[in-house]
Amino acid sequence: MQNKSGHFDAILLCFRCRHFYNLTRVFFLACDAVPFVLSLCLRKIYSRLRARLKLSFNMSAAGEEEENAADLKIGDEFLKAKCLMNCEVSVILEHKYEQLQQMSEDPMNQVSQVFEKSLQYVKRFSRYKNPDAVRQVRELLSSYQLAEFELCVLGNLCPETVEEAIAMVPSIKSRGRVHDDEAIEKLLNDMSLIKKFE
Amino acid sequence: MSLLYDSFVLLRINHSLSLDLSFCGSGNLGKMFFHIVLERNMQLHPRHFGRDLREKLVSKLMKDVEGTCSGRHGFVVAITGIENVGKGLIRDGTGFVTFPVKYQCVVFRPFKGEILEAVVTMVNKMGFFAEAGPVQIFVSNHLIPDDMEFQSGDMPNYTTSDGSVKIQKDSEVRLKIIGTRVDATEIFCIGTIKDDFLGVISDPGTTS
Repeated sequence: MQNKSGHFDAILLCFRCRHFYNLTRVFFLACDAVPFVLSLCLRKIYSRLRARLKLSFNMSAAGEEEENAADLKIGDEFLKAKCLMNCEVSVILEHKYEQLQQMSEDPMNQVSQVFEKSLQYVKRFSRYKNPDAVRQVRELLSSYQLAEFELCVLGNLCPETVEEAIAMVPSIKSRGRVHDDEAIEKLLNDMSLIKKFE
Repeated sequence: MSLLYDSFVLLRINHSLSLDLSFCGSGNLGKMFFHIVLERNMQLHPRHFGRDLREKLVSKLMKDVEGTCSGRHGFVVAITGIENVGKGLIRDGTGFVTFPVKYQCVVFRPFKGEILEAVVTMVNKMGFFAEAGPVQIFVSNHLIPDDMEFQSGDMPNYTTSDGSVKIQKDSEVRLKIIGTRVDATEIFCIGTIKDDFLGVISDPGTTS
């Protein structure tokens, strides 16, 4: 009779009317069990959620959690942003540098270190020097239904073989799109042609 | 009942996990330079009010923003255009006016998982440092292929046993970013060259 659930008094009260007893017991048991099961489930959901959040934190760009929170916030800002290839950046920066040159005698004094380093970097690593060639590459790559970042990685690295292209941009193969090896090969060939004739 | 519920929860979580991963995948795979629209509230001193208020505002914006680095957007390399300048609001007590300015700019932001090219700036026995634009990337010797050995000397380098491949100062390497640390004012990256199609692209030693 000493029910563990702590509703001893209530049960005692009901004890006299025996036919009532079973009903109340079921009721009290249910009262006890429902929050218990619920709390168990909630705890499980909570721990799984935490694990999941941690996982997604690790997956995203920066190392610290606060930064990542910021990262999640910027998501759509960067989704709207346009990705640029090194050669495009080089065209933009050189244009800006020329403008500064016209305005003052010593443009290197005017520009920031970040600008200077970026300009050096993109000059060194841009495959296409000629603005027309840059435009052609952009047109060519955008005709292949590539995502912005895939386009830029291919334009930046100019892989020579299909295997190299897939190693650089695994998603062109894995997303189940219509990029078979021949299509990729044709793309790479066209790119090297532009390079040859610029 | 609890078991059933449990599996249901599991199912849902798995579902959202896969969603998350697909999002992260698209966010993480190499993007370096972006053209992006940002907004900033500019405070302007009343002495600049006049015909060339707009020019003053723009030149102040360039001075303030270009070359800065924020964890959110990375390095702001150059402002390329002004989208619009909002209505100014006079600050109480100072007379300064705050203008919300929307501007387009080129930003530089490295992402995890990205493959890019960089110039080696320093080599030591712990690994080497490389530079991609304004960003410093460190490649530890654990992330350099095992057949490359460190050689000390006045030109420290990593060389394969047959001497065909050499990483030294000013080499150009292709590497993959595996981690980033974002400070308020700087971004550091950890890279690896221990993967297919990564490593030295051009070697200054062989050309000179």
